[in-house]
Amino acid sequence: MKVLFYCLTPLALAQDDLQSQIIGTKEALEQLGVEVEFLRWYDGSQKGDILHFFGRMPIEMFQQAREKRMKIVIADDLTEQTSLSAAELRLQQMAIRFLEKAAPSLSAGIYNWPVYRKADACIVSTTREAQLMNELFRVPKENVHVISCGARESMTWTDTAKKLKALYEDLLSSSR
Amino acid sequence: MQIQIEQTKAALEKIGVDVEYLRWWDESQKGDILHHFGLFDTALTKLAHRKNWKVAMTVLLTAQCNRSEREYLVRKIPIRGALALLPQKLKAQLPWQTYFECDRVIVGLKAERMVLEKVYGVPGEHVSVVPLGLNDVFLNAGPASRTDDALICTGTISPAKNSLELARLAQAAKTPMLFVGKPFDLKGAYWMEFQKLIDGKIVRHHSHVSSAPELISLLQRARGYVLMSRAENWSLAAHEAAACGLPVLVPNQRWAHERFGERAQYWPANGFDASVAALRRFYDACPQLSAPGIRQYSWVEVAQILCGVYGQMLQPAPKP
Repeated sequence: MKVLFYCLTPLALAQDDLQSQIIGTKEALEQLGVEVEFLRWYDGSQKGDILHFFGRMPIEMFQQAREKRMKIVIADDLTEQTSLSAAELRLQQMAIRFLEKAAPSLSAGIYNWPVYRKADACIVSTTREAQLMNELFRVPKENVHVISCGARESMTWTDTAKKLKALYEDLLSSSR
Repeated sequence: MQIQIEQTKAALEKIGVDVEYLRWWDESQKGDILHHFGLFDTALTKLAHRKNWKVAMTVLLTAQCNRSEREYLVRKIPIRGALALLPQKLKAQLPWQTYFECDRVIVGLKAERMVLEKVYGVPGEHVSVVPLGLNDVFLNAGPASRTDDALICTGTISPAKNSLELARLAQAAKTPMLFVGKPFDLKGAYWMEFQKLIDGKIVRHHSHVSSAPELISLLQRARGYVLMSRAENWSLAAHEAAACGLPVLVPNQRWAHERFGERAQYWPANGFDASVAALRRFYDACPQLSAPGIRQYSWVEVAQILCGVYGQMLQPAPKP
């Protein structure tokens, strides 16, 4: 099993928490014997079984990964949404539904919402975010996994990695 | 895109420009210009600016640059409306906003610049047209013998290239056609269907060639070159064929007219019978047709043009 990590935000421009999330998870997975590589976007020969994407994946990239028959895991935080009031959330939900019906390809191209639904698994940090994945983006509950990130230097990175490893194995075994 | 990125990097290095691939995971990587291929996120552009990186963005407007004037108008109204009327927070999420935020948008064709100006309202001086190059082996290929009886079509066997449709046209027109390229999906239905048409006489298939000399040899023996892609925005393959001395039959699209003008043959707008007739006409006329002698660029020439664009970007902004 080989996992490719990818994130569109260069870590040189990112905030520290994203850096530690990605680096910490990779190191912990490697300690458990999982082969992890950063996706080298410029290397056409790089291979992987699972693409673990951090953030909302552009739909075009999603389709390309699918064509390569990779399993796709999307880890995203819905921090902004969790801070919205019930009325604001309802409004956002209605706006998403409306745009997805009125202009499906345009809205998909701009906002990439369908990737959450189409991914083999979505990873969030809290149960509230998992609930929002389902309510806002209609991601089936069984596809949303709550795996919070461990803090560096503590044992919890290993816990995160164990859960991720089990998820990867599950995804790959279900496709066989 | 992969060829464009790899060749541009190599050529820039040849003329002394320090180029590295962005290692997204490497927080210590430094640079003056971030040259992104594809749409770069507006928020990331702002972050890059905070680091004092300039952002250049090469975009492909493949489908868009081949649309009709009416289609441009239909797109222009909602896009310009959204850009003008939406609140700043929502506007920032629109992917097109990045055309305005980045320091330079780079395209390969004037037709693409026209789309950016006309549909999105991007100022012309914000857009640079930088052509695509060709490998020196193609540029120096010399005259073609054109001794084979078959036309040639190079590229992946895929729906985007209309390979299946072209094979059916070749059968109907009874014009031998050599397809050179790997299937896009070996297990896919498209390739299965295509395989059924390969008879070794009219529809021939040569698996992908990995070396340029082998490809040049195949091209130079062919009677003429045929491209029937749904949309292209440059088509390196057609340029390679032209450099190898072949007359070309290409889609009746804006990109092709910009690049080949009167020096190419064009597919009719639509209709199977009209296309069969056009293919047959091209096949019969090939011995009398010459290659389109268009201006082609080496990758080093492309790098020199690009280097000029980088230079402009790094110049300090004039004081107001």
